[in-house]
Amino acid sequence: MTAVAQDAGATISMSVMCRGLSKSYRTLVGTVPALRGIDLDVRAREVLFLVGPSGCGKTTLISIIAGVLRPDAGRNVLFGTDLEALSPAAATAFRRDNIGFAFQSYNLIPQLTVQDNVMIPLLLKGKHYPVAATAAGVALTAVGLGQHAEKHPSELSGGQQQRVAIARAFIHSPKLIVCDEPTSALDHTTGQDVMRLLRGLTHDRGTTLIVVTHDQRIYDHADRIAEMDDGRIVSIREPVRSTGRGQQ
Amino acid sequence: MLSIAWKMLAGDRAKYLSIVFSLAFTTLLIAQQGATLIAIFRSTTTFVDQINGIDMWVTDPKSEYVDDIKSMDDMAVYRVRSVPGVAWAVPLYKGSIRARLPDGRAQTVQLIGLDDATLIGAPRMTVGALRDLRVADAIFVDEDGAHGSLAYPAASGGQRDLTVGDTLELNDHHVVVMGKFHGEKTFASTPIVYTTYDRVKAFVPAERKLLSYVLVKLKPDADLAQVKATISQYLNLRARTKAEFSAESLRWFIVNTGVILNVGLSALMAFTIGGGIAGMTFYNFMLDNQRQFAVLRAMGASRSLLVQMVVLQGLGVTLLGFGCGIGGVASFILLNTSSSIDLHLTWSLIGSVCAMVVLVGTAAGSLGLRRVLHIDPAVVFK
Repeated sequence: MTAVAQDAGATISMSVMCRGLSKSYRTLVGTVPALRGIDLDVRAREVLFLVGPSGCGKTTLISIIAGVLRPDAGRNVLFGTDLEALSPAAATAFRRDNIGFAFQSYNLIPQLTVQDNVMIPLLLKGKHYPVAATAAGVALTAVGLGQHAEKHPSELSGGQQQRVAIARAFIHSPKLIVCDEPTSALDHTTGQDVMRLLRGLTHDRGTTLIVVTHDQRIYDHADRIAEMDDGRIVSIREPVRSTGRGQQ
Repeated sequence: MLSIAWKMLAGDRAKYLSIVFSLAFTTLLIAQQGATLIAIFRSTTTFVDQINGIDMWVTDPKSEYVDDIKSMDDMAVYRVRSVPGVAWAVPLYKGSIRARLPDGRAQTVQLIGLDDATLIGAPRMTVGALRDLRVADAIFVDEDGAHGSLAYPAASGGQRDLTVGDTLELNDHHVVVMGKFHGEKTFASTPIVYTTYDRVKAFVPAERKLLSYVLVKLKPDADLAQVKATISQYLNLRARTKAEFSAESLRWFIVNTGVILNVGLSALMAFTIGGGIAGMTFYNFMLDNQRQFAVLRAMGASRSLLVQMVVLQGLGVTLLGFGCGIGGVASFILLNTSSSIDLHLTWSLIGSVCAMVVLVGTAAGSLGLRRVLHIDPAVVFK
């Protein structure tokens, strides 16, 4: 992990280190800047929320951090590896080995059973099907869906599908999990449950978690909140803790 | 991951079955049309192909193909025998005549007259022995004819298969069935009757020339080209080897009939429509699953893995559809024994159809693969 000097002179290991990240999109009306020189450090085992209004660049930033989008300029260093220096194939392999994903729309494959969906990251890493199936069973039990392994995603509620997506994100023990609006499609109670689950797994496994969200109801699950506006990070702060926070 | 790829396709039941059915339909139509074409071709040349043990067919010089019979004088046999290099030569008659059954039904039959002494050109017997043709008024009848249009009136009413000992009339001449044989079904599907050449001369209406072909065997040291040239130059007849006569007959049939065009058009339509439906459905499957492939790409699936997954999906449905289609054609051929021609599902036809169907699958898979390989994994966050 990257070590950076802090104000007090101590060092804290970093999972993610972004420097001067810029990204623009070409549209019919011209070039639209999405990121304007982002600098961001995410500590190891930290839960960081990226928040801000629609169109502020949150999704672009998380896409670049996750290595699925290339910036126009800047560096994106994950666990000491500069992703922009990697070839596309090496970046793909890096994602496979180090990053877990959970999406707003879950992105489960509807034709597959829940168990098959969950085991995909292990199969991508070359694990044999029986090994991956056993691990998927354990992961589903961990998210409380052990009895739903043979069902298809369409047979589950939104909250259950998000739990499946979380099991899929964690199954291969990645160092970083990126979540895009994990609770936006869920009611308050289910959203809190999902966040408690995410925090719990992150804490237990020492994983770094970056969450893009609009959902202010879950802010107190964050260690830090980075607020974005117009392609910049305008503030990084700790959340105002409410009573009964789901943090572990 | 390849098992996941297959589950992704098979899990989308509607599209999966639609692709398999389309490819099976394509296979079935192309193979059935191909089998029909082969059967027609075979029936065109079967008369030449089934007579073995000779080196040449000699015909009238104007005769272009096997059924273009321009009769020769019987003396032609003797003249051919006089050509240096010819070991032996025998006459062969082919024509048609009306047969009358005891109940008064009349049926045109194909009459073949074999050389009385040697019976060269005899068919493959299923009932009776070849020597029985030497019995007075003897004829052989093909099994299909005996079962079909020459079925005999039964004593108890109705009809039964014509069998050994039954009698009928050929142009008012009394004949006795002394045997049956398996004859290749012909395009005309008329019954086939064999007898001896001398008997033919008694049966058919009086004509000055009756000889259809002269079958020739060469001496071991004879020069085939030289004998052919001699027959052509000095006898004003045309000599062709079995292969040449068969090929020329087939070529004439292809050039002078619309069979290739008609059967070919049907096969092309099957290929286009069935292949088009399968291709579009597979392409739609790829479009529908673009996001799923993007998710896999984001999670670290390499491009080569995605290619393998799409190839497996394409190849899987293609071979499954092909297998169902070929199975359907084979079942059709096995069950449809009453067809007027014998359909032939040859290995070369199966291979050709497989190649065509794989081409459809490859084209569809390539289009889908192109979409998959151009997937931007960042769409998973949109």
